[in-house]
Amino acid sequence: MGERPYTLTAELTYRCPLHCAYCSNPTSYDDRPALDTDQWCRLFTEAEAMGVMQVNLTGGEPLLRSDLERLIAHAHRLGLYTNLITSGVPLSRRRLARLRGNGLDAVQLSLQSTEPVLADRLAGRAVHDQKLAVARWTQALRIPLTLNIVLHRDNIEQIHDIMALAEDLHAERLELANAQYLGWALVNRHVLLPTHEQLEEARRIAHAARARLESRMEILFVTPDYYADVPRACMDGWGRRHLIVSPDGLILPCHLAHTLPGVTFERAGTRPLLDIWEQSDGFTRFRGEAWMADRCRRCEYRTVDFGGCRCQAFYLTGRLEAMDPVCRWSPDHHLIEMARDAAAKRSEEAPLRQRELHMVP
Amino acid sequence: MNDASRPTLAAKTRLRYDRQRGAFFLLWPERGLLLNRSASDILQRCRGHETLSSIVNALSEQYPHTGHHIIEEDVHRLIRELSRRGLLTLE
Repeated sequence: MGERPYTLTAELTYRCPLHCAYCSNPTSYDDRPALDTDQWCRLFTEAEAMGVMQVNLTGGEPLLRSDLERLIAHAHRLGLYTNLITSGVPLSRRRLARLRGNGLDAVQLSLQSTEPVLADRLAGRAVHDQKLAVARWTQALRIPLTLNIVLHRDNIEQIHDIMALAEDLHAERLELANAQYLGWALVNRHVLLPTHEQLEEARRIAHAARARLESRMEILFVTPDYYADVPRACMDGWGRRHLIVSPDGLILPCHLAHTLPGVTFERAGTRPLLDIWEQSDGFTRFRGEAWMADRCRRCEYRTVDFGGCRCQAFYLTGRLEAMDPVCRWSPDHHLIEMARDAAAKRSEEAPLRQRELHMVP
Repeated sequence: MNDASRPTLAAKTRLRYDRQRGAFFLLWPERGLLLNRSASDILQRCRGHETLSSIVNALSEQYPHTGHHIIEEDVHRLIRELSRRGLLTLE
């Protein structure tokens, strides 16, 4: 049996009421019509038949879709584990209860900071209090809660408070997700990238807490690969485990793949999903090892990191097949070192460029 | 943990049968654990109704050719490990 997907990430819309300067959505995209309810439902059915067991409902902000209830109900009928990845805006307790009633298994709520003023500044909108309310409703409705906070230079030193808040809100999981420098985060990398000292201190605190809280709260600390010397196994390898679907129905191996030039991705409903997964240019291009640079094909880590992140390689070097510059053996590794050096030297505050977006009507 | 403890899978988890592998997975957000036959037999009984000793006894009946103490050790090890990881609680 070849590779098969385990997780479907449904990006239901790119629209979002927030303006986070590290958003992982594409910085520009064609504003094509989004898939409708029936198209998403058909996609879930096909994905489940291929072996998918979990569906992440995300965006943008998935709550902006008024058919979210129906999508969750359909996924639930298929026996899929449904995880709502949300900013919590806009949401009422009543709607959350309805989503739960339709079979929602878990909520992943984003927070920006533990300080309300900074949180609202990062989100570009006063939403912190609403998020805390959503966390409490989630707990009251007994829905398993994951808190996700993207870490960067301005909030990484709050890690103690973040963990205390997560405990206070009875989160079952806490994702301390250092920003990955792609999408909007790459635009703002010079402002967001923490220093090496900041990162190591945060890591130390997170690891100590993980040991202490292990049975009560699962703590994930996602290292930014700018401070690793080996690339991360982006998406567990291209076309190995994950299916991502953009709001307009492009079937993708990662959430930015369609921004890579010269790779063709196919749309939901144009032919069977299984064929797209197994045969399409988009999925086969960087699957396996044939595409890799010689250095990578000889490398003992090729089955660990699968050649790293294609988007990172392209956005930093301009070449699709380049080695991921995070790798210490990459001829472009100096690009990473320069960014680290700049982070170490930067002292003055620089402005963030907030995500521009299609405003919510 | 004692014989009267009632192991209960954590609320965030769900057991799901995977037709392709012919095996159960324990799922929780963005994670999954492929279970072998005995682990899935054990976890299907971890719903908070059965005590640890009744789970061991049921497994012993199911696997009559395996010694009772070996089964007991296996059950305890799995439950201790999942409980340490917050995937299961002991009522």
